[in-house]
Amino acid sequence: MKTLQVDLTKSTTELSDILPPERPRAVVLGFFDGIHRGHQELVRTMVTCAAERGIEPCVFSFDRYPKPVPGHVRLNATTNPQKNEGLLLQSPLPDSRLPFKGLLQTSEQRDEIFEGLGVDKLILQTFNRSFAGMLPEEFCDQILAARLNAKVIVVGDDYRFAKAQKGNVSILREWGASHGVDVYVVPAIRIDGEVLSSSKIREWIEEGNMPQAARMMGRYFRIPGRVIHGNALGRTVGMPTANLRVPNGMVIPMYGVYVTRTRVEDTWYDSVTNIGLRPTVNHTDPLPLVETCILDRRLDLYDKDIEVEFLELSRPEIRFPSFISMSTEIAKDLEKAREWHTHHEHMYLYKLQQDIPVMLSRSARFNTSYLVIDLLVPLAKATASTFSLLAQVLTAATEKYPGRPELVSFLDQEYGAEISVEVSRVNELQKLSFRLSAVHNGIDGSNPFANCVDTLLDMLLRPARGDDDHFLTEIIETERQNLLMTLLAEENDVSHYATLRARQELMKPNFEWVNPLGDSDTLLHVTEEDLRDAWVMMLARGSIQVYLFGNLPTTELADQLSLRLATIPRASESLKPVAGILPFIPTWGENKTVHEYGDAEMAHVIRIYDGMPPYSSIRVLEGYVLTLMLTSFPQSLLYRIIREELGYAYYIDAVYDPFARTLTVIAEVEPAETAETLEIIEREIAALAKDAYEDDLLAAAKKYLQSSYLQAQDDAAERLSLESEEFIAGSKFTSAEVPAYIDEITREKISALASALQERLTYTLEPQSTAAVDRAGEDGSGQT
Amino acid sequence: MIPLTGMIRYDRKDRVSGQQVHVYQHHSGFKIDIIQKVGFQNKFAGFLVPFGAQHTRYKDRATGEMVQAELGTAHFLEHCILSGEDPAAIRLTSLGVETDAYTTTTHAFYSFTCVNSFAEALKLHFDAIFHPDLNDTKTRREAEIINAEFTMYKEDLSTVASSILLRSLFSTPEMYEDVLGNAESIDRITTADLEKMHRNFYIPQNLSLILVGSFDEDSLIKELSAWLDEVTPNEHIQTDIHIPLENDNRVLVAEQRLELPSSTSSFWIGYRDKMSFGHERRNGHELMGARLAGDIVLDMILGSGSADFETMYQDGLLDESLTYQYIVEPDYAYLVISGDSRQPERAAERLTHILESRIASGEFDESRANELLRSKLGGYLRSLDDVTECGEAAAGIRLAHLEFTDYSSIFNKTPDRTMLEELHFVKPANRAKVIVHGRRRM
Repeated sequence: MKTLQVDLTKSTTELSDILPPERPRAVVLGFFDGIHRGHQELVRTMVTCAAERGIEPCVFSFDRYPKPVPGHVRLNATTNPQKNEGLLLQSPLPDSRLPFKGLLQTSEQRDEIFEGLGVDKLILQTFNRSFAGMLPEEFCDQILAARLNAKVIVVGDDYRFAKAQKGNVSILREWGASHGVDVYVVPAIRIDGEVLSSSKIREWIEEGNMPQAARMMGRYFRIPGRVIHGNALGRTVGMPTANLRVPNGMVIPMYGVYVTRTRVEDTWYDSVTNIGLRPTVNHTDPLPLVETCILDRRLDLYDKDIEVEFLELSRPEIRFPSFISMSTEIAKDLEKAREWHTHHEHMYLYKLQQDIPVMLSRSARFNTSYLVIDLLVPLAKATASTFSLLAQVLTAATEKYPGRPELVSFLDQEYGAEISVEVSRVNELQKLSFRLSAVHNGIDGSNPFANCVDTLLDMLLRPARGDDDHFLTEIIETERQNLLMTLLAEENDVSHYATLRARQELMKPNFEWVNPLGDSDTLLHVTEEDLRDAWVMMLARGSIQVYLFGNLPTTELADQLSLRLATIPRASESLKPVAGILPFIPTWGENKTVHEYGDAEMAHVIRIYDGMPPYSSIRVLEGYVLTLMLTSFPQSLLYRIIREELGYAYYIDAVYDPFARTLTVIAEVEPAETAETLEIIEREIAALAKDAYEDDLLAAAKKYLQSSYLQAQDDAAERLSLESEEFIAGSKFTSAEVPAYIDEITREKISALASALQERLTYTLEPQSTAAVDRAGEDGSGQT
Repeated sequence: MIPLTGMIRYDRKDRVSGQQVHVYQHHSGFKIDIIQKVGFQNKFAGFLVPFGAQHTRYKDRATGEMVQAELGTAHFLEHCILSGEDPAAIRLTSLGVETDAYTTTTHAFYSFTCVNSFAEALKLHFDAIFHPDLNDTKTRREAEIINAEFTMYKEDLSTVASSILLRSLFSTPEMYEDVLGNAESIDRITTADLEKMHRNFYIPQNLSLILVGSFDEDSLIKELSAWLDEVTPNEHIQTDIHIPLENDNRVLVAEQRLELPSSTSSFWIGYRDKMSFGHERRNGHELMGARLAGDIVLDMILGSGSADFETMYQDGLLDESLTYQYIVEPDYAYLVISGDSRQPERAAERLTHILESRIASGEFDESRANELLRSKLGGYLRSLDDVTECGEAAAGIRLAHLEFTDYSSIFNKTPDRTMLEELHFVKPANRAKVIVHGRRRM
């Protein structure tokens, strides 16, 4: 990502070079302090639109805080103040009496987050008098059209712009309509009845309420800085600290002791931090100091750039009557922090090893611990079978356990540890998910989970191979036969078959359906060399994420694992999912109808709709609620009518695929009821669009979804699946945060969503016996 | 024992997992197992009715007459207890409660999980189970739904093939028919039939309740006690309504070959333990120990860690679809083995030969059996991580007339060759085989 500091009110040659006016762009407008969940939704909407149209995704913002503030306040913050020494950015706007609490992030932090969101260019307009004095039309014509060549503009629904904030979304929409520019107005994100806002987050931070601030920001508040020399008093009380200053212009949390994590290079260590004036020992320094103690580690941090993440306030800063009483309290602070770190189950990035994120979550609640290694590679018909077979070959044996009996014997001995691999599809990506689950502590004092971690890593990094370094032929051939049978068996489930056929038809003619498990013809021709190439490519260029969850009192296992990951020969360029861009969100063609006949007992009726929220949007939750309102429980519209009232079907379901943006309704009904079932599906979706349904239906669907997410908190395997999916989907929320977002879903939102649905496919698979009857009345063609 | 609000309570601790269990017994005989899981938000409750599809004959406690119920009545009743349109079902949904109910040959189980409103959900279930709203409209509607379910299962190859196998093994319809019954029996079931079955089986002394999670135990027990008091005012307590199945000890069809709509071919092998049927009634440790022994022996011989499996796997006769299930109930036992294969006849022949000869030989690999025992123990420990799994496991243990905390002692026994005796019936004379050749479905 490029950050451009520009003044677009002036026309220069240099400007044309760095922002060529002929290049079309999608632009999101705003200041984005803290880049909270609401900002992220705006940026992801812009990035998704840009990817759909193949244009440049840009953020247009300002070089300083643009609102009126009291005079002589620094309006930007930077991690390394020396770099911008003397650069005190002030507002050209009149002084305000409202106090300015400071910014939520430094420029460096902001740039890193935007880059992670898929932004190509961050355009920082100099917020000077000439810019602040522009009229709405001038801003639209001169900046958005002439300088930025914006084809898509994304703003929040409270967006104001131009002189005296005269510009608003209506003006922008009108201007967009007359200039062929698509203007997307993204509704504000609310949580606990409150609109997410940077000013509210500043308040939470000032009050020391870090969890609440984190819920809004989507990450914990962090203070970056270079470690300076202190008075080394911490050492004398068993708490050696790394000290840093809060960057100028940045919001300062309530003074006190916090449970924290501290990033040193690529690792986030458990820590405890005091921020404040240190009244017990300091009587001269007027500036707050951040003193962080990394737990159970001795690291030389002087002059290093570190970042401290504030997790929870332990206690406010107080003046102790004596050094001894302060020491006693510090010992308690340390113990409290240790306890928090080993029991707080929030999944966090522990280490970025090469470019592989090692995510860690520690909990003492469960007997089972998990290690999941997800690999993403491009999905293509030519290679899907190779990667699918590779996954089976890798998990069949290791160098140490070269045959299945040896491997199974080892896993059984480790209290029935399980290692498995699942191959799935995420649009144009093939996902290979390797999973170890094992009891953490055996009753004989052994550590089965720790004993098995190396085995899973061996499967990936040191698989069973012959003297010539080739994969073993007998393993390849056995696994090939096994996979061929699995592919054949897939067709046995008529319901699965019908869904697969519907999806294939939906994708025609723009896309080709590729089974992530591969296909029989290609599978037969996969060679040992293909497997070796795929293995090397997967490790070097695939996207890899590692999740470690369980009863881990220390990070020792995560460190051991990271050391093994460090041996992977990664290429300089590897696959990186970015929500809205990779995986790409497909668009579907015109509506079509396909009838087929087969050896079935029931008629399988499928309707697919497009227009559901994309996976990159926080609105996926609205999509799930709408889906539940159709099927899933007794009040659900289709469940109630088709199953309970009419008794046409035992099985009826609706599936929302946020990656395809589709809603699929599936029913297995008596063949005679096919036409009526299709009509009912259409009618009830229309009822949602018209807002014509009982009040308790929406409430029940919301409650149901909230319960599912809350219940997932107690299911380690389910949580890992959600984490893994959210990693690809842009980490929009954690499962613990979801219930609060669901609370904000209204009838209006559901109605708007249902109105936006476009039918794309009607597919029916009916018993052969009905074919003759149908042919008597029609021309006999199977497909329309 | 601590008397509490009309309940007797005692606390026990599982030595293996350290899990505490509080057991309550109401004066009606109704038992409650409480497994507190500190730190869990999710809560589970399950009502266990120890009567299932096979319990079709009973003495009506109102009239004293012997009743022969239609096949599928127990499942039909389960459908009607908390059917979709009942106000209770709707209320449960609006509370965000996930409900589940199923019927097997031996029991019916009504369970739910939720995060909030645990007591209210429990009361709604309690009332539905003890005071269901049974009426003709509901009966007719549920018959339609069950018929749709029945038709749906006809498409499922494994349901069709296993049904054919069971018919080969047993002549008693309660053993070979699906728990749903059949199209004719479903049509014949009336509201009166359901009411009769309900008043005989759904009485507090027969039922148990399993509660798992973190919740206010004392107040819940007080409420439960009060609800139970209302169900059983001075009612005669019938303690034993065990209904043995008829003797049925012949293998009907030794081998069948079929062509079914399927993309794969498969084999289905069954062995029936003739001796146990109606003769040896096993329960408690004996039953659980039998299941464990059978599973260990089968894993040892046919499991993916066995040399024989590996050879057959490499020869292309088997794949990962191979499954085996040793079903041991108090009255009977049988074994079902199935799997997809390109050469189902050869696969079935090799498998039966391996299994029968290994059991007959008396060879027993103690070291491997110990590994498998550890594996099963690990599985038990892992099941405690999830409130639903834990609750279902506790219900299974209670169904076997065992206390939850006693269960893990089955892992104390060192495996030895006596385990082979559990599968003594695995012989050609007790075997039935179904070979399915696939016919392209589409």
